[in-house]
Amino acid sequence: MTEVNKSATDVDLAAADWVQRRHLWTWTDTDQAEFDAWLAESDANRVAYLRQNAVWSAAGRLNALRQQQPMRQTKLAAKSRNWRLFRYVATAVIVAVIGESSFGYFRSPADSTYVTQVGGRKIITLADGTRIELNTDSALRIRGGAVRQVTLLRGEAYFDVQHNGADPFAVTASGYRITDLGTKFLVRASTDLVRISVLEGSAAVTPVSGQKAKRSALLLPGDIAVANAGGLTVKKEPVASVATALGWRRGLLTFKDMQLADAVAEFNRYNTHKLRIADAEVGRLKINGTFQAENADVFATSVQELFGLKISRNGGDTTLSH
Amino acid sequence: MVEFLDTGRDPTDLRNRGAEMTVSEVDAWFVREVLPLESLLMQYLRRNWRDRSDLEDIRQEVYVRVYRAAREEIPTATKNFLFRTARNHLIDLVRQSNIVPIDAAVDFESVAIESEALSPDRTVAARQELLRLQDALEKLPPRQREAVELARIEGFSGQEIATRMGITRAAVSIHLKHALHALSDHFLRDKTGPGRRL
Repeated sequence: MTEVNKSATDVDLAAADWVQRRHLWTWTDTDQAEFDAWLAESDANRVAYLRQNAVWSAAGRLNALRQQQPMRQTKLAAKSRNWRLFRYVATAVIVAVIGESSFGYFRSPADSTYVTQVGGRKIITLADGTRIELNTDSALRIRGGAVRQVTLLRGEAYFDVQHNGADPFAVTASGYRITDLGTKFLVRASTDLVRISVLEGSAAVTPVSGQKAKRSALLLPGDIAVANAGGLTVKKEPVASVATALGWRRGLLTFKDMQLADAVAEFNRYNTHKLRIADAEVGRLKINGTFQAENADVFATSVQELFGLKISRNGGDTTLSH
Repeated sequence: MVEFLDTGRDPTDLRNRGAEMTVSEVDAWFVREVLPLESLLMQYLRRNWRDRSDLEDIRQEVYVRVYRAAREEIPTATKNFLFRTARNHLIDLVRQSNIVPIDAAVDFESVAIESEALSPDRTVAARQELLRLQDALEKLPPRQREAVELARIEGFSGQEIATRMGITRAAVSIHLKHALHALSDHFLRDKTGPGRRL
């Protein structure tokens, strides 16, 4: 029948061993030859390897949860308590990128720039307790000597600001300045416009230069402001739906009656391999659901099944068509 | 499809760029379409096979059969195909053995209907995946868990993990091997499945 004479558990353990060897250790030609031979030995080996490797890949998504790990939060809190003494002396930023071995270090008063790659995320904790979470493909600059003056150069960031009336926190993006009045808010900057969504508290939006009267607004929870060179519009949404837009902090994208073209654009922000839509008609299909931002493949397959579309792959890219 | 198996943006994966494995359409199909059904498959096998100690071997054999068939032609209806294969394999096993288990042949015919009714919602699955994984991680022995966290959350190399944990490289490998094996059994299977904690 088949060559299964080793128990499934033995094969699975051997496969798991190959997975960790391949991903974590130096890999020589000898290793490769040994691995190839093992794979060729039986289909059971190959299938077991695919299975264990899928779990390895999935485990990589655990880092989406790391900011929620109590152990690390405690560590961080303890560290920031220690630093509190120095807070008034040090105009420098204490940066804690979670996951790094050293949690705090001094920065000279030069500007600091934080960049995330496509699919990446980064958490920046300032000395005052303000938290900034950078989304995929984003860049943020913190001014040296003025930690509460930041510029979102591109992309998207979530701000959970410790309010200080004497030293307001300000974000500059796409020609606008957002000044916090004790708040949690989300800023997304593209070349010509900026979108600000407020979750808690309030924030003032003003243009950096020009006619302030026409283009300023005070935003309250649930407000979403879209501002460009021409002016500023504010729409009111339930706070819950603003919160949904923050799903990326956990690696999730939620779509509600969203056109497929827009949903695909969202996925493409997070992945180097792009999804494409063959024609405008397909792009107008409406989609609902929550997906993992980094798993465009699951999304493509779901959409394919839902609407009976065709999937074609070219290089790393995937095209959806009728 | 290579990226589905190797998330290229992960630094731990990038480190061993040289580690090659040719990934075929069939491999990608198997990971994408078959593995998510493991929880349902195990439910089915548990219900139709009395001896729990055979289950992993049966699962493996079903996977191998499905994989081989897909190499000829990738089936369009993966779920039906998987359960049909499982059913045929169970029947083969009953025929081969001298003793027919009393409950072995009972439920085979209801497969198709059942697998339709239990159709997993991929969207829900995606949403719950992280939580299920975390749950599986918490069930690991502490040292195994630590090794996985250092590898997959902190992104350290094997050598760095050995240094941090103060153990040999071989010990790191052993921890990770067992951890990964345990994670797959928890993670690929339904939380509520009765045999899950065995």
